[in-house]
Amino acid sequence: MSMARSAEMRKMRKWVVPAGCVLAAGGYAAVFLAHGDVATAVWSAGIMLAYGGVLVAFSRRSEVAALLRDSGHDERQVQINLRASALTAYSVILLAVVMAFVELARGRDPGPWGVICAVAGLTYLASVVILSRRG
Amino acid sequence: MQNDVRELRGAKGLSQQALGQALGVSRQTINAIEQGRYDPSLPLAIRLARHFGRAVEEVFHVDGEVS
Repeated sequence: MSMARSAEMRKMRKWVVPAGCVLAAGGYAAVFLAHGDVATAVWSAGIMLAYGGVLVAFSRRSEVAALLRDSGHDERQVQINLRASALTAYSVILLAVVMAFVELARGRDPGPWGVICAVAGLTYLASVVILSRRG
Repeated sequence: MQNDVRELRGAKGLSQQALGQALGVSRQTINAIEQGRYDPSLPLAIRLARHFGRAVEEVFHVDGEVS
């Protein structure tokens, strides 16, 4: 890929998260308005738009905002993003495992919690196998 | 890992921003390296050392090791 094309792609990538915020705002507004809940529609859409706006406004001054807006450009920023993603996944998986046991203790089927645990476990296993072979 | 990046950069009169641009990394990454909060990858360490006309081991020092 040429340098110009790479720079163009990077510029476009910076707008993916803000565009996602606008889409999410529209989605929230549409869902809550469809249920006649105007206040929640305004609040939820407003929060998403404000979040996207803050990222756009501060991404040049704040590295945190820049990383939240984009996945980072150099090796340290990519590492930060990877570690943050791993930490996020750990917390979600921990919640799923705890909830699966809570449901089992109540004598109920773990339902979606069990599915999340199974998918997470298989994904981790496959990732370790593939990544260890790649070196 | 300790390093002499701050001293070498200062001797050249470069800002963190300028050094980061020359190496294709952010100003914050140069700052993190100088502060010893981030150990760069081997390719980046080599690029940094070459930028100052030094060998990697002349710029980066294992903690507790005197160069």
